[in-house]
Amino acid sequence: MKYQVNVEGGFTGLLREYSGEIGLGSSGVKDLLEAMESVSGERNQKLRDGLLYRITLKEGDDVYRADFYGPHLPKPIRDFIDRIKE
Amino acid sequence: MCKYHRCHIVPPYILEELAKRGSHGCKRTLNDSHRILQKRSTALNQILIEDFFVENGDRLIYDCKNQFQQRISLVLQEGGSKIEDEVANAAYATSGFVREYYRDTFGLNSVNGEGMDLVSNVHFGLDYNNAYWDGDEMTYGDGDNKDFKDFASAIDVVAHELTHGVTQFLANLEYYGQSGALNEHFSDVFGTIIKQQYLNQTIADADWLIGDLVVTEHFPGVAIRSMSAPGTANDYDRQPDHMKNYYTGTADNQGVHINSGIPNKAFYLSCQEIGIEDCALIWFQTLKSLWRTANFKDMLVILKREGQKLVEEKRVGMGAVAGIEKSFRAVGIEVQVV
Repeated sequence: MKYQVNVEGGFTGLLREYSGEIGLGSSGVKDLLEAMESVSGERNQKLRDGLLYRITLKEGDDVYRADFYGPHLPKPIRDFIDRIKE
Repeated sequence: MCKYHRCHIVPPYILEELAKRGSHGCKRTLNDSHRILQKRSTALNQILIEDFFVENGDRLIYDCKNQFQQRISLVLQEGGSKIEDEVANAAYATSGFVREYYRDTFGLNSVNGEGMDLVSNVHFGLDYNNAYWDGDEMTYGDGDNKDFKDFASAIDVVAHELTHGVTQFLANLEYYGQSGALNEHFSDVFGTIIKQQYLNQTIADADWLIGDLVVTEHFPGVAIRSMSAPGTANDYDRQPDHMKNYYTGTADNQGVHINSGIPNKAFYLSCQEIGIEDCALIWFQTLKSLWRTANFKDMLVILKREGQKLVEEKRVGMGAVAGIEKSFRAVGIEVQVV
């Protein structure tokens, strides 16, 4: 699976970009894509200095995009980002 | 004259224009309307689960135990003794210092003027490189100890986050584009003012850095931002210090942490011109008079208006308005007198 993750904002205001390709196995891909779909579309309008995670995943010909605000980042996606940061 | 109850049927754009012309009633209505809508949606639930209580601006420190969840364990509250956790003790002390600065300097009772309790969440997440205000409370990570460390103990970070609360209740500046950059600007302004007071520094002694205490020795820079020299605090710092380098991209809510460098530099120059105490008063009065969608030029108009009022009341020096105009001109922000 190919990925592009941009982390914006936060108190530090520093843009972080991670891109590459990773093997997750079929259950790992399934968990991740389900988490991508769990985005509610709602955001906390009062959040100040929150991190914004802009995520693009490409599996075969399918492209998945979602944005998450820091406090609402689903665990599978947080785990995925921790893994690609290593 | 704008009566509060009549403003409910007035469209927001008219309220904004009236607010720009000095109607405090319309400004308040505009700022409050978003909060009221959200409060309405949760009011019934709150009535069912909470008894009526009056807040005293008490400090409440919660340990998140390195989980990505707020308010896991209350470890320190107002009047409590120090505990073993030094980060919790520091969050308690720094939030108290900020609360007292606003109370003693401007007569503001906590961030909302009505004694709202100050809730701090420490040890949030694992290796979490951030601190934020979520509309109700503050949350601090411990940092990854590679680039960043302990956000809760740094006075400028705590003052920055708490000032987001003050801004929310005074001007409610939209967190997007220029109004968002002003939101960040006010947090950096009072972050640096309060830091200088905390360290008992003069403007000549001060380093004018934001976040210097949360970066490690491995971080490629000395701080997160610089008020005196935006764009120079670290290798990634791309804050402009003049409108000619204004960031027009979409990242970071259209650059709220980027373009704040421009008014930040103007504030630094203003402090050199007229002193930091006069600036603090004029900036605070301006924050009280700004509105949700205000931009850089709107801010300068209001700074001049509030500055002139304070000159006439002999609360700031005679040269205040001229000093501010000169400083903003130096960063490319001017307003024409019609």
